[in-house]
Amino acid sequence: MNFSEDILQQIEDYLNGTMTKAQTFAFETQIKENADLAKALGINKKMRLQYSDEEWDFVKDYKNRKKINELEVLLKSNELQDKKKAIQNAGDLYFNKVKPENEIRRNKSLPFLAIAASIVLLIGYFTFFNNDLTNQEIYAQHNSWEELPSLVSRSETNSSLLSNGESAFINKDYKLAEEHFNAYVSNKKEVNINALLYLGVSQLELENYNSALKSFQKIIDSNTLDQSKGYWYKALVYLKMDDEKNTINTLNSIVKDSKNFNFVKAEKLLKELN
Amino acid sequence: MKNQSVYLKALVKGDTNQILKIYEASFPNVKRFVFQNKGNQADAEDVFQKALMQLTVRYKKEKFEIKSSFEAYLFTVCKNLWRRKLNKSKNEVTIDGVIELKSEERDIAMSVLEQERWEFFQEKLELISDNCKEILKRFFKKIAYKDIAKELGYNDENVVRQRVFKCKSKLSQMIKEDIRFKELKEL
Repeated sequence: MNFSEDILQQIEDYLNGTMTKAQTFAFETQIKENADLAKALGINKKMRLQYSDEEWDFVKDYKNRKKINELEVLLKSNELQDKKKAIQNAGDLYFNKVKPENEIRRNKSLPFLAIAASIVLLIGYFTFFNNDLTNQEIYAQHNSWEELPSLVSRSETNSSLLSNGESAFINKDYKLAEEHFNAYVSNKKEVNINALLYLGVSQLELENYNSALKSFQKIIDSNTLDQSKGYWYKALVYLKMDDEKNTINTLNSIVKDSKNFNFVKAEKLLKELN
Repeated sequence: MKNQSVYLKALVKGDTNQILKIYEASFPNVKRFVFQNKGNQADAEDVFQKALMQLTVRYKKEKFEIKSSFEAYLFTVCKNLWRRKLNKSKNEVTIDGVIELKSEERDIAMSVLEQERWEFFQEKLELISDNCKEILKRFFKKIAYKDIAKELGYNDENVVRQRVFKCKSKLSQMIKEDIRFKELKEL
């Protein structure tokens, strides 16, 4: 339908918000009565949003449940989560590659002592000065659980188990944490690596070593890219148990592949133990 | 160009080495853009990763072709995601202080639909005459008629106004005639 220039101008004025109150009222009355005009207004509004350099046209969740759900399920699938890991790994490689180069360049101008100091920091204080640490002391240097990823942001069913478990964990109530994570893990068909990590670490803190080993073994058996995390935590269990032979065996599984979780730490730890 | 599908396939395969090449080729430009638009390093990294996830899930769902170079395409996706982010925080602050809790995956899912719709509208804009395109691009950037007249060599703003009306109705006609519009409109 073709509109007069006057009407077209009114559409512009309306969208620009330059009409007086009376004009706005009159125009809105027209829209209600004239479906073609309403359509024309609608598409003009849409074009403004779509072709704007600054605004963004968001989709409405309630209008697109089905499509969004399908994509969400696909994104949450193990397969796509693995792809996400691959992207993250590539990002880590890229950013680590870029950063050290800059640092090396900077270091060239630093006096020798500063370089030596940074190397000491890099390799780790205790490898230089504390060769006579007991296994328990070494364990104590690795059991800061702050590196565990937070679970809170995940929105899924059973998420209250996760978030309650996590807060119990943070409060060091490992018994309660273990209960929550255990309930979560046994209810789930698919493997949730992070929940297993929390479960295993809670068990480790409670000194239920066999349960902890089992939880971490599930991670190893999971066939995900995070699988190697299982070895690291399993090694910590053996370390805490003073089982040096198994600690070394488990760490050896990590150092087989530089892509494995905590590869560098594992190499260091092996040196300390040998 | 051969690299588009190579990179898309690398994403779907989770080929870290190839994805690293994507970072090497494209991240610096994206970072520059984000920094120029109120963002920082973490923002740039986040946008880049989400853009790659978006391409992965789209290609996984249904194979598609990229008509420009892969780098240019990825850059556009990142730009849109960053614009989306900026508008989102604006929205979240103003709507009754209530922030909707959404999983990251759901948010990426929504951005996929938005990107697809955005591409549809861009495609339509490419179909009208160059003359119309030039005028409308400026009009939608909210450049004043008299400045458009000066820049494009029209006699006065009235001529521009009439051209804008003509071109806009041509464009909206084309949009409405496309069968995909009916579906996209519902979004």
